[in-house]
Amino acid sequence: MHTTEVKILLEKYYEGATTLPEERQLEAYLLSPGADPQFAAEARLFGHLAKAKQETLPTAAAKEIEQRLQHTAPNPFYRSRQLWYYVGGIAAALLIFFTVAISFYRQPANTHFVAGTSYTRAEAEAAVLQTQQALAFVSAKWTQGTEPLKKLGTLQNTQDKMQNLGALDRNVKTINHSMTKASESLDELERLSKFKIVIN
Amino acid sequence: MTEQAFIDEVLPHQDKIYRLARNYLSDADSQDVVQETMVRLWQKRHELPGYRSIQALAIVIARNMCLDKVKAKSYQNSSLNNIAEPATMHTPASALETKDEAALAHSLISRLPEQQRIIVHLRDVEGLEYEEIAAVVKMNVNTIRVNLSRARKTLREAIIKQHNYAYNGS
Amino acid sequence: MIAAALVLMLTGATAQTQSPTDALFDKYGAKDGFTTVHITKELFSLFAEVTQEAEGDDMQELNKVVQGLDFIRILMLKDTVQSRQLTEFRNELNGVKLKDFSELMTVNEGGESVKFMIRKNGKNINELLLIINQPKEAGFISITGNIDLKTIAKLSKSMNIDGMENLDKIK
Repeated sequence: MHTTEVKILLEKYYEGATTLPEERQLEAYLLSPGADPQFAAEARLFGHLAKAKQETLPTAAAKEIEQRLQHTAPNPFYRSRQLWYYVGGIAAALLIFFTVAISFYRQPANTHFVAGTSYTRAEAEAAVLQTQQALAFVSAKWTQGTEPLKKLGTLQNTQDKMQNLGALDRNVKTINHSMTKASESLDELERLSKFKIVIN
Repeated sequence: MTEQAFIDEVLPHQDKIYRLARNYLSDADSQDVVQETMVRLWQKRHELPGYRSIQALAIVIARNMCLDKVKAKSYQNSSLNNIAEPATMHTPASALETKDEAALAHSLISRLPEQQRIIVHLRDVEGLEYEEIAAVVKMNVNTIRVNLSRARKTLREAIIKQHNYAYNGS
Repeated sequence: MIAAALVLMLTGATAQTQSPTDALFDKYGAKDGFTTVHITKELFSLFAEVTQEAEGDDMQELNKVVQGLDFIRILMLKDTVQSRQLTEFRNELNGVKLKDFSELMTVNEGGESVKFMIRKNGKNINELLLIINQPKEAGFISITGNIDLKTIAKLSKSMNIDGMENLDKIK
Protein backbone atom coordinates (compact mmCIF):
# COMPACT_ATOMS: atom_id res chain seq x y z
CA MET A 1 0.00 0.00 0.00
CA HIS A 2 1.23 3.46 -0.78
CA THR A 3 1.84 5.76 2.16
CA THR A 4 -0.72 8.25 0.85
CA GLU A 5 -3.33 5.52 0.89
CA VAL A 6 -2.35 4.61 4.42
CA LYS A 7 -2.61 8.21 5.54
CA ILE A 8 -6.08 8.50 4.07
CA LEU A 9 -7.20 5.31 5.73
CA LEU A 10 -5.71 6.32 9.03
CA GLU A 11 -7.53 9.62 8.90
CA LYS A 12 -10.76 7.75 8.38
CA TYR A 13 -9.75 5.35 11.13
CA TYR A 14 -9.34 8.11 13.67
CA GLU A 15 -12.73 9.48 12.71
CA GLY A 16 -14.29 6.08 13.36
CA ALA A 17 -15.25 5.93 9.71
CA THR A 18 -13.47 2.84 8.44
CA THR A 19 -15.14 -0.43 7.57
CA LEU A 20 -13.90 -3.71 9.00
CA PRO A 21 -12.23 -4.69 5.71
CA GLU A 22 -10.43 -1.34 5.66
CA GLU A 23 -9.29 -1.90 9.22
CA ARG A 24 -7.97 -5.31 8.25
CA GLN A 25 -6.11 -3.66 5.39
CA LEU A 26 -4.53 -1.18 7.77
CA GLU A 27 -3.57 -3.95 10.14
CA ALA A 28 -1.97 -6.02 7.40
CA TYR A 29 0.08 -3.05 6.29
CA LEU A 30 1.12 -1.79 9.70
CA LEU A 31 2.19 -5.20 10.93
CA SER A 32 4.26 -5.92 7.86
CA PRO A 33 8.03 -5.45 8.09
CA GLY A 34 8.00 -2.92 5.24
CA ALA A 35 5.69 -0.45 6.96
CA ASP A 36 6.87 3.13 6.73
CA PRO A 37 8.52 4.39 9.94
CA GLN A 38 6.28 7.48 10.02
CA PHE A 39 3.55 5.12 11.14
CA ALA A 40 5.58 3.60 13.94
CA ALA A 41 3.14 4.63 16.64
CA GLU A 42 0.20 3.06 14.81
CA ALA A 43 2.25 -0.04 14.09
CA ARG A 44 2.93 -0.41 17.77
CA LEU A 45 -0.71 0.09 18.68
CA PHE A 46 -1.94 -2.35 16.09
CA GLY A 47 0.71 -4.79 17.23
CA HIS A 48 -0.59 -4.75 20.80
CA LEU A 49 -4.17 -5.08 19.59
CA ALA A 50 -3.23 -8.01 17.36
CA LYS A 51 -1.80 -9.84 20.37
CA ALA A 52 -4.89 -9.11 22.39
CA LYS A 53 -6.99 -10.64 19.63
CA GLN A 54 -5.12 -13.91 19.98
CA GLU A 55 -5.62 -14.18 23.69
CA THR A 56 -7.70 -17.08 24.88
CA LEU A 57 -9.08 -18.26 28.16
CA PRO A 58 -6.49 -20.48 29.86
CA THR A 59 -7.34 -24.15 29.40
CA ALA A 60 -7.42 -24.81 33.13
CA ALA A 61 -10.12 -22.18 33.51
CA ALA A 62 -12.11 -23.60 30.61
CA LYS A 63 -12.01 -27.05 32.19
CA GLU A 64 -13.12 -25.64 35.49
CA ILE A 65 -16.11 -24.06 33.80
CA GLU A 66 -17.03 -27.32 32.12
CA GLN A 67 -17.02 -29.07 35.45
CA ARG A 68 -18.97 -26.39 37.21
CA LEU A 69 -21.66 -26.45 34.54
CA GLN A 70 -22.03 -30.17 34.95
CA HIS A 71 -23.01 -29.54 38.52
CA THR A 72 -25.33 -26.65 37.88
CA ALA A 73 -28.97 -27.09 37.10
CA PRO A 74 -30.65 -24.84 34.56
CA ASN A 75 -33.51 -22.71 35.85
CA PRO A 76 -36.78 -24.57 35.68
CA PHE A 77 -39.40 -22.88 33.58
CA TYR A 78 -41.64 -22.54 36.47
CA ARG A 79 -40.01 -20.01 38.71
CA SER A 80 -42.47 -17.79 40.33
CA ARG A 81 -45.37 -19.70 41.79
CA GLN A 82 -46.72 -16.68 43.55
CA LEU A 83 -46.83 -14.73 40.36
CA TRP A 84 -50.44 -15.26 39.56
CA TYR A 85 -51.87 -15.11 43.02
CA TYR A 86 -52.17 -11.44 43.66
CA VAL A 87 -54.33 -10.58 40.78
CA GLY A 88 -57.24 -8.69 42.19
CA GLY A 89 -60.54 -10.48 42.39
CA ILE A 90 -59.55 -13.58 40.59
CA ALA A 91 -57.02 -14.61 43.20
CA ALA A 92 -59.39 -17.15 44.62
CA ALA A 93 -60.09 -18.62 41.24
CA LEU A 94 -56.44 -19.02 40.43
CA LEU A 95 -55.72 -20.62 43.77
CA ILE A 96 -58.04 -23.41 42.89
CA PHE A 97 -56.66 -23.72 39.43
CA PHE A 98 -53.22 -23.91 40.87
CA THR A 99 -54.11 -26.81 43.11
CA VAL A 100 -55.53 -28.72 40.22
CA ALA A 101 -52.53 -28.06 38.07
CA ILE A 102 -50.11 -29.12 40.78
CA SER A 103 -51.56 -32.57 41.04
CA PHE A 104 -50.98 -33.00 37.36
CA TYR A 105 -47.46 -31.75 37.71
CA ARG A 106 -46.64 -34.25 40.39
CA GLN A 107 -47.16 -37.23 38.15
CA PRO A 108 -44.01 -39.25 37.91
CA ALA A 109 -41.83 -37.65 35.32
CA ASN A 110 -39.25 -39.65 33.53
CA THR A 111 -36.17 -37.65 32.97
CA HIS A 112 -35.29 -39.02 29.62
CA PHE A 113 -35.47 -36.76 26.65
CA VAL A 114 -38.76 -36.82 24.88
CA ALA A 115 -37.91 -38.60 21.67
CA GLY A 116 -36.44 -36.44 18.95
CA THR A 117 -36.50 -33.20 20.94
CA SER A 118 -34.27 -31.09 23.11
CA TYR A 119 -36.35 -31.37 26.22
CA THR A 120 -36.84 -33.79 29.05
CA ARG A 121 -40.29 -34.80 30.04
CA ALA A 122 -40.08 -32.85 33.26
CA GLU A 123 -39.21 -29.71 31.36
CA ALA A 124 -42.04 -30.25 28.92
CA GLU A 125 -44.48 -30.69 31.78
CA ALA A 126 -43.22 -27.56 33.45
CA ALA A 127 -43.72 -25.70 30.21
CA VAL A 128 -47.28 -26.97 29.98
CA LEU A 129 -47.92 -25.76 33.48
CA GLN A 130 -46.41 -22.38 32.85
CA THR A 131 -48.38 -22.01 29.65
CA GLN A 132 -51.60 -23.00 31.40
CA GLN A 133 -51.00 -20.38 34.01
CA ALA A 134 -50.19 -17.67 31.55
CA LEU A 135 -53.18 -18.42 29.36
CA ALA A 136 -55.46 -18.76 32.37
CA PHE A 137 -54.37 -15.35 33.45
CA VAL A 138 -54.99 -13.89 30.03
CA SER A 139 -58.33 -15.58 29.80
CA ALA A 140 -59.44 -14.61 33.27
CA LYS A 141 -58.48 -11.03 32.75
CA TRP A 142 -60.29 -10.96 29.46
CA THR A 143 -63.41 -12.33 31.07
CA GLN A 144 -63.08 -9.88 33.91
CA GLY A 145 -62.97 -7.07 31.43
CA THR A 146 -65.87 -8.13 29.32
CA GLU A 147 -68.19 -9.47 32.04
CA PRO A 148 -69.59 -6.08 33.08
CA LEU A 149 -70.79 -5.46 29.58
CA LYS A 150 -72.70 -8.68 29.70
CA LYS A 151 -74.40 -7.56 32.84
CA LEU A 152 -75.91 -4.65 31.07
CA GLY A 153 -77.07 -6.53 28.08
CA THR A 154 -76.07 -9.05 25.56
CA LEU A 155 -73.20 -8.36 23.32
CA GLN A 156 -74.15 -10.01 20.13
CA ASN A 157 -71.48 -12.50 19.27
CA THR A 158 -68.97 -10.36 21.03
CA GLN A 159 -66.12 -12.75 20.61
CA ASP A 160 -66.77 -12.97 16.89
CA LYS A 161 -67.04 -9.24 16.65
CA MET A 162 -63.83 -8.90 18.50
CA GLN A 163 -62.26 -10.81 15.71
CA ASN A 164 -63.52 -8.21 13.34
CA LEU A 165 -60.69 -5.92 13.98
CA GLY A 166 -61.76 -3.08 11.83
CA ALA A 167 -63.95 -1.71 14.59
CA LEU A 168 -61.22 -1.87 17.12
CA ASP A 169 -58.91 0.43 15.32
CA ARG A 170 -60.54 3.20 17.26
CA ASN A 171 -59.51 3.61 20.81
CA VAL A 172 -61.23 1.36 23.21
CA LYS A 173 -61.34 3.15 26.49
CA THR A 174 -60.72 1.71 29.85
CA ILE A 175 -63.53 -0.40 31.14
CA ASN A 176 -63.96 -0.01 34.81
CA HIS A 177 -65.88 -2.26 37.05
CA SER A 178 -67.88 0.46 38.61
CA MET A 179 -71.36 0.22 37.13
CA THR A 180 -71.87 3.93 36.75
CA LYS A 181 -68.86 4.16 34.55
CA ALA A 182 -69.92 1.14 32.54
CA SER A 183 -72.72 2.91 30.75
CA GLU A 184 -70.35 5.60 29.60
CA SER A 185 -68.07 2.94 28.28
CA LEU A 186 -70.95 1.30 26.50
CA ASP A 187 -71.80 4.53 24.78
CA GLU A 188 -68.25 4.66 23.66
CA LEU A 189 -68.37 1.12 22.41
CA GLU A 190 -71.65 1.70 20.68
CA ARG A 191 -70.06 4.39 18.66
CA LEU A 192 -67.94 1.71 17.12
CA SER A 193 -70.35 1.06 14.31
CA LYS A 194 -69.77 -2.62 13.89
CA PHE A 195 -70.78 -3.32 17.46
CA LYS A 196 -74.32 -4.03 18.21
CA ILE A 197 -75.07 -3.71 21.87
CA VAL A 198 -78.56 -4.62 22.88
CA ILE A 199 -79.65 -3.35 26.24
CA ASN A 200 -82.34 -5.48 27.84
CA MET B 1 -31.58 -25.17 24.53
CA THR B 2 -29.87 -28.51 24.95
CA GLU B 3 -26.51 -29.07 26.55
CA GLN B 4 -25.01 -29.72 23.17
CA ALA B 5 -26.47 -26.56 21.71
CA PHE B 6 -25.04 -24.66 24.63
CA ILE B 7 -21.62 -26.15 24.00
CA ASP B 8 -21.87 -25.31 20.31
CA GLU B 9 -23.36 -21.86 20.53
CA VAL B 10 -22.61 -20.34 23.89
CA LEU B 11 -19.28 -21.67 25.13
CA PRO B 12 -17.44 -20.26 22.09
CA HIS B 13 -18.02 -16.81 23.55
CA GLN B 14 -15.81 -17.59 26.54
CA ASP B 15 -12.63 -16.21 25.00
CA LYS B 16 -14.39 -13.04 23.98
CA ILE B 17 -15.62 -12.53 27.52
CA TYR B 18 -12.17 -13.20 28.92
CA ARG B 19 -10.56 -10.63 26.63
CA LEU B 20 -13.23 -8.09 27.51
CA ALA B 21 -12.85 -8.61 31.23
CA ARG B 22 -9.10 -8.13 30.99
CA ASN B 23 -9.75 -4.48 30.24
CA TYR B 24 -11.32 -4.11 33.65
CA LEU B 25 -9.81 -6.71 35.91
CA SER B 26 -6.83 -8.86 36.74
CA ASP B 27 -6.29 -12.21 35.08
CA ALA B 28 -7.73 -14.12 38.01
CA ASP B 29 -10.79 -11.92 38.32
CA SER B 30 -11.32 -12.05 34.59
CA GLN B 31 -11.40 -15.82 34.71
CA ASP B 32 -14.00 -15.54 37.46
CA VAL B 33 -16.15 -13.31 35.30
CA VAL B 34 -16.03 -15.79 32.47
CA GLN B 35 -17.07 -18.59 34.77
CA GLU B 36 -19.89 -16.62 36.38
CA THR B 37 -21.16 -15.44 33.02
CA MET B 38 -21.20 -18.96 31.63
CA VAL B 39 -22.96 -20.23 34.73
CA ARG B 40 -25.63 -17.55 34.41
CA LEU B 41 -26.16 -18.33 30.76
CA TRP B 42 -26.29 -22.03 31.54
CA GLN B 43 -28.94 -21.42 34.15
CA LYS B 44 -30.92 -19.46 31.61
CA ARG B 45 -30.30 -21.89 28.83
CA HIS B 46 -33.96 -22.63 28.29
CA GLU B 47 -34.71 -18.97 27.79
CA LEU B 48 -31.87 -18.35 25.40
CA PRO B 49 -33.87 -19.02 22.24
CA GLY B 50 -35.79 -15.91 23.16
CA TYR B 51 -32.82 -13.65 22.70
CA ARG B 52 -31.92 -12.16 19.40
CA SER B 53 -28.24 -12.28 20.11
CA ILE B 54 -26.63 -14.57 22.63
CA GLN B 55 -23.35 -12.85 21.95
CA ALA B 56 -24.83 -9.53 23.01
CA LEU B 57 -26.42 -11.08 26.08
CA ALA B 58 -23.16 -12.71 27.14
CA ILE B 59 -21.24 -9.48 26.72
CA VAL B 60 -23.83 -7.44 28.59
CA ILE B 61 -23.85 -9.85 31.50
CA ALA B 62 -20.06 -9.91 31.59
CA ARG B 63 -19.73 -6.15 31.33
CA ASN B 64 -22.13 -5.61 34.21
CA MET B 65 -20.20 -8.12 36.27
CA CYS B 66 -16.92 -6.37 35.50
CA LEU B 67 -18.34 -3.02 36.53
CA ASP B 68 -19.66 -4.47 39.77
CA LYS B 69 -16.34 -6.10 40.55
CA VAL B 70 -14.42 -2.93 39.78
CA LYS B 71 -16.66 -0.96 42.09
CA ALA B 72 -16.37 -3.54 44.84
CA LYS B 73 -12.63 -3.72 44.77
CA SER B 74 -11.99 -0.05 44.06
CA TYR B 75 -9.69 -0.68 41.16
CA GLN B 76 -7.69 2.31 40.04
CA ASN B 77 -7.81 2.85 36.31
CA SER B 78 -4.37 4.31 36.13
CA SER B 79 -2.70 1.44 37.93
CA LEU B 80 -0.89 -1.09 35.80
CA ASN B 81 -0.57 -3.43 38.72
CA ASN B 82 -3.57 -5.62 38.37
CA ILE B 83 -4.08 -5.61 34.70
CA ALA B 84 -0.63 -5.96 33.20
CA GLU B 85 0.54 -8.65 35.55
CA PRO B 86 3.18 -11.24 34.73
CA ALA B 87 1.90 -14.49 33.30
CA THR B 88 1.60 -17.61 35.39
CA MET B 89 4.05 -20.48 35.39
CA HIS B 90 1.86 -23.02 33.70
CA THR B 91 1.39 -21.12 30.49
CA PRO B 92 3.32 -22.40 27.46
CA ALA B 93 6.02 -20.08 26.15
CA SER B 94 4.22 -18.85 23.04
CA ALA B 95 1.15 -18.12 25.06
CA LEU B 96 3.30 -16.23 27.55
CA GLU B 97 4.45 -13.87 24.86
CA THR B 98 0.92 -13.31 23.68
CA LYS B 99 -0.28 -12.75 27.18
CA ASP B 100 2.33 -10.17 27.99
CA GLU B 101 1.82 -8.15 24.90
CA ALA B 102 -1.92 -8.54 25.18
CA ALA B 103 -1.61 -7.16 28.67
CA LEU B 104 -0.08 -4.03 27.18
CA ALA B 105 -3.15 -3.53 25.03
CA HIS B 106 -5.42 -4.10 28.01
CA SER B 107 -3.61 -1.67 30.23
CA LEU B 108 -3.92 1.04 27.58
CA ILE B 109 -7.58 0.34 26.96
CA SER B 110 -8.34 0.11 30.65
CA ARG B 111 -7.46 3.75 31.07
CA LEU B 112 -10.20 4.92 28.77
CA PRO B 113 -13.58 6.06 30.08
CA GLU B 114 -15.76 2.99 30.29
CA GLN B 115 -17.99 3.64 27.31
CA GLN B 116 -15.02 4.25 25.04
CA ARG B 117 -13.30 1.28 26.57
CA ILE B 118 -15.94 -1.25 25.70
CA ILE B 119 -16.57 0.19 22.26
CA VAL B 120 -12.94 0.24 21.15
CA HIS B 121 -12.49 -3.25 22.53
CA LEU B 122 -15.50 -4.67 20.71
CA ARG B 123 -14.38 -3.05 17.48
CA ASP B 124 -10.61 -3.17 17.49
CA VAL B 125 -10.04 -6.40 19.38
CA GLU B 126 -13.20 -8.38 18.65
CA GLY B 127 -13.92 -6.97 15.20
CA LEU B 128 -17.64 -6.56 15.72
CA GLU B 129 -19.79 -4.68 13.25
CA TYR B 130 -21.46 -1.50 14.44
CA GLU B 131 -24.84 -3.19 14.65
CA GLU B 132 -23.40 -5.89 16.90
CA ILE B 133 -21.85 -3.26 19.13
CA ALA B 134 -25.13 -1.40 19.21
CA ALA B 135 -26.84 -4.55 20.48
CA VAL B 136 -24.55 -4.39 23.50
CA VAL B 137 -24.20 -0.70 24.29
CA LYS B 138 -27.64 0.36 23.10
CA MET B 139 -26.44 3.49 21.33
CA ASN B 140 -26.98 4.53 17.78
CA VAL B 141 -24.22 3.98 15.26
CA ASN B 142 -23.18 7.62 15.16
CA THR B 143 -22.64 7.82 18.87
CA ILE B 144 -20.61 4.64 18.66
CA ARG B 145 -18.46 6.17 15.93
CA VAL B 146 -17.83 9.25 18.01
CA ASN B 147 -16.79 7.20 21.00
CA LEU B 148 -14.61 5.03 18.80
CA SER B 149 -12.93 8.04 17.30
CA ARG B 150 -12.13 9.53 20.69
CA ALA B 151 -10.87 6.24 22.03
CA ARG B 152 -8.56 5.61 19.10
CA LYS B 153 -7.10 9.08 19.30
CA THR B 154 -6.50 8.71 23.01
CA LEU B 155 -4.82 5.35 22.48
CA ARG B 156 -2.52 6.84 19.88
CA GLU B 157 -1.56 9.67 22.22
CA ALA B 158 -0.85 7.17 24.96
CA ILE B 159 1.36 5.06 22.72
CA ILE B 160 3.28 8.10 21.59
CA LYS B 161 3.79 9.32 25.11
CA GLN B 162 4.81 5.88 26.24
CA HIS B 163 7.48 5.46 23.62
CA ASN B 164 8.48 9.02 22.93
CA TYR B 165 8.12 8.74 19.24
CA ALA B 166 9.00 11.76 17.20
CA TYR B 167 5.75 12.34 15.50
CA ASN B 168 5.54 14.71 12.58
CA GLY B 169 1.86 15.59 12.51
CA SER B 170 -0.24 14.41 9.59
CA MET C 1 -32.06 -1.96 8.04
CA ILE C 2 -31.40 -4.78 5.60
CA ALA C 3 -27.71 -4.62 6.38
CA ALA C 4 -28.48 -4.86 10.06
CA ALA C 5 -30.72 -7.84 9.51
CA LEU C 6 -28.01 -9.54 7.50
CA VAL C 7 -25.46 -8.89 10.18
CA LEU C 8 -27.72 -10.41 12.78
CA MET C 9 -28.16 -13.48 10.62
CA LEU C 10 -24.46 -13.84 10.13
CA THR C 11 -23.69 -13.56 13.79
CA GLY C 12 -26.02 -16.44 14.45
CA ALA C 13 -28.79 -14.64 16.22
CA THR C 14 -31.15 -17.32 17.39
CA ALA C 15 -34.60 -15.87 17.53
CA GLN C 16 -36.61 -14.58 14.64
CA THR C 17 -38.78 -12.69 17.02
CA GLN C 18 -40.09 -9.34 16.12
CA SER C 19 -41.98 -8.12 19.07
CA PRO C 20 -41.54 -4.61 20.36
CA THR C 21 -40.86 -6.29 23.66
CA ASP C 22 -37.62 -7.78 22.33
CA ALA C 23 -35.49 -4.93 23.60
CA LEU C 24 -37.06 -5.09 27.03
CA PHE C 25 -36.58 -8.82 27.24
CA ASP C 26 -32.95 -8.53 26.17
CA LYS C 27 -32.17 -5.81 28.65
CA TYR C 28 -33.96 -7.02 31.72
CA GLY C 29 -33.46 -10.69 31.07
CA ALA C 30 -29.82 -10.12 31.89
CA LYS C 31 -30.63 -8.73 35.32
CA ASP C 32 -31.35 -10.42 38.60
CA GLY C 33 -34.77 -10.33 40.11
CA PHE C 34 -36.69 -10.62 36.87
CA THR C 35 -38.72 -13.67 36.06
CA THR C 36 -38.33 -14.58 32.44
CA VAL C 37 -40.15 -17.28 30.60
CA HIS C 38 -39.82 -18.17 26.97
CA ILE C 39 -41.69 -21.15 25.65
CA THR C 40 -41.01 -22.08 22.08
CA LYS C 41 -42.72 -23.86 19.27
CA GLU C 42 -40.66 -26.93 19.88
CA LEU C 43 -42.09 -27.17 23.37
CA PHE C 44 -45.60 -26.56 22.15
CA SER C 45 -45.23 -29.49 19.83
CA LEU C 46 -44.69 -31.67 22.90
CA PHE C 47 -47.79 -30.59 24.71
CA ALA C 48 -50.11 -33.13 23.16
CA GLU C 49 -47.83 -35.96 24.12
CA VAL C 50 -47.25 -34.70 27.63
CA THR C 51 -50.89 -34.02 28.36
CA GLN C 52 -52.34 -37.20 26.94
CA GLU C 53 -52.66 -38.73 30.35
CA ALA C 54 -54.32 -35.75 31.89
CA GLU C 55 -58.06 -35.81 31.92
CA GLY C 56 -60.51 -33.13 31.11
CA ASP C 57 -61.44 -30.75 28.37
CA ASP C 58 -59.01 -28.14 29.49
CA MET C 59 -56.11 -29.97 27.97
CA GLN C 60 -57.89 -30.29 24.65
CA GLU C 61 -58.56 -26.59 24.64
CA LEU C 62 -55.02 -25.85 25.68
CA ASN C 63 -53.59 -27.96 22.91
CA LYS C 64 -55.85 -26.31 20.42
CA VAL C 65 -54.69 -22.86 21.41
CA VAL C 66 -51.08 -23.81 21.56
CA GLN C 67 -50.94 -25.40 18.13
CA GLY C 68 -50.66 -22.19 16.21
CA LEU C 69 -48.32 -20.37 18.52
CA ASP C 70 -44.74 -19.36 17.91
CA PHE C 71 -43.83 -18.50 21.44
CA ILE C 72 -45.07 -17.27 24.74
CA ARG C 73 -42.83 -14.91 26.51
CA ILE C 74 -43.17 -13.43 29.94
CA LEU C 75 -41.12 -10.87 31.75
CA MET C 76 -42.14 -9.85 35.23
CA LEU C 77 -40.53 -7.95 38.01
CA LYS C 78 -41.78 -8.54 41.46
CA ASP C 79 -40.15 -5.94 43.51
CA THR C 80 -39.68 -6.74 47.13
CA VAL C 81 -36.69 -4.59 47.86
CA GLN C 82 -35.67 -2.17 45.17
CA SER C 83 -38.50 0.11 44.28
CA ARG C 84 -36.18 2.20 42.16
CA GLN C 85 -35.69 -0.71 39.82
CA LEU C 86 -39.42 -1.28 39.65
CA THR C 87 -40.07 2.35 38.79
CA GLU C 88 -37.39 2.37 36.14
CA PHE C 89 -38.69 -0.85 34.65
CA ARG C 90 -42.29 0.29 34.77
CA ASN C 91 -41.45 3.49 32.95
CA GLU C 92 -39.67 1.61 30.25
CA LEU C 93 -42.41 -0.98 30.06
CA ASN C 94 -45.13 1.58 29.64
CA GLY C 95 -43.03 3.60 27.24
CA VAL C 96 -42.45 0.79 24.73
CA LYS C 97 -43.32 1.96 21.25
CA LEU C 98 -46.20 -0.16 20.11
CA LYS C 99 -46.76 0.82 16.54
CA ASP C 100 -48.89 -1.63 14.56
CA PHE C 101 -50.70 -2.45 17.78
CA SER C 102 -54.24 -1.55 18.68
CA GLU C 103 -55.50 -1.45 22.20
CA LEU C 104 -58.38 -3.81 22.83
CA MET C 105 -59.12 -2.88 26.38
CA THR C 106 -57.70 -2.18 29.77
CA VAL C 107 -58.95 -3.85 32.88
CA ASN C 108 -58.53 -1.85 36.04
CA GLU C 109 -59.05 -3.15 39.49
CA GLY C 110 -57.69 -1.81 42.71
CA GLY C 111 -54.27 -0.52 41.84
CA GLU C 112 -53.84 -3.01 39.09
CA SER C 113 -54.20 -2.48 35.38
CA VAL C 114 -53.90 -4.99 32.59
CA LYS C 115 -53.81 -3.63 29.07
CA PHE C 116 -54.65 -5.84 26.12
CA MET C 117 -52.89 -4.93 22.89
CA ILE C 118 -52.99 -6.80 19.64
CA ARG C 119 -51.04 -6.70 16.43
CA LYS C 120 -52.84 -7.98 13.45
CA ASN C 121 -52.07 -9.08 9.96
CA GLY C 122 -55.20 -8.74 7.90
CA LYS C 123 -57.75 -10.77 9.79
CA ASN C 124 -55.27 -12.66 11.88
CA ILE C 125 -53.86 -11.65 15.20
CA ASN C 126 -50.10 -12.05 15.21
CA GLU C 127 -49.35 -10.95 18.70
CA LEU C 128 -51.32 -10.54 21.85
CA LEU C 129 -49.56 -8.41 24.37
CA LEU C 130 -50.64 -7.90 27.93
CA ILE C 131 -49.03 -5.11 29.84
CA ILE C 132 -49.43 -5.61 33.53
CA ASN C 133 -49.08 -2.95 36.15
CA GLN C 134 -49.64 -3.89 39.75
CA PRO C 135 -48.59 -1.96 42.83
CA LYS C 136 -45.67 -4.26 43.51
CA GLU C 137 -45.22 -5.97 40.17
CA ALA C 138 -44.97 -5.05 36.54
CA GLY C 139 -44.35 -6.88 33.35
CA PHE C 140 -45.76 -8.27 30.17
CA ILE C 141 -47.03 -11.43 28.59
CA SER C 142 -46.49 -11.71 24.88
CA ILE C 143 -48.13 -14.42 22.85
CA THR C 144 -47.05 -14.63 19.25
CA GLY C 145 -48.19 -16.73 16.34
CA ASN C 146 -51.64 -17.55 15.05
CA ILE C 147 -53.77 -16.45 17.91
CA ASP C 148 -57.26 -17.63 18.40
CA LEU C 149 -58.57 -15.09 20.84
CA LYS C 150 -61.96 -16.70 21.00
CA THR C 151 -60.57 -19.98 22.25
CA ILE C 152 -58.20 -18.33 24.67
CA ALA C 153 -61.09 -16.40 26.13
CA LYS C 154 -62.93 -19.64 26.73
CA LEU C 155 -60.02 -21.32 28.42
CA SER C 156 -60.80 -20.13 31.90
CA LYS C 157 -64.29 -21.57 31.61
CA SER C 158 -63.13 -24.93 30.49
CA MET C 159 -60.54 -25.11 33.20
CA ASN C 160 -63.21 -25.80 35.77
CA ILE C 161 -62.21 -22.91 37.87
CA ASP C 162 -64.65 -22.61 40.69
CA GLY C 163 -65.42 -19.15 41.74
CA MET C 164 -65.28 -17.61 38.30
CA GLU C 165 -68.97 -16.81 38.60
CA ASN C 166 -68.03 -14.66 41.53
CA LEU C 167 -66.44 -12.28 39.10
CA ASP C 168 -69.84 -10.70 38.69
CA LYS C 169 -69.91 -9.80 42.31
CA ILE C 170 -66.64 -7.94 42.33
CA LYS C 171 -67.07 -4.36 43.52
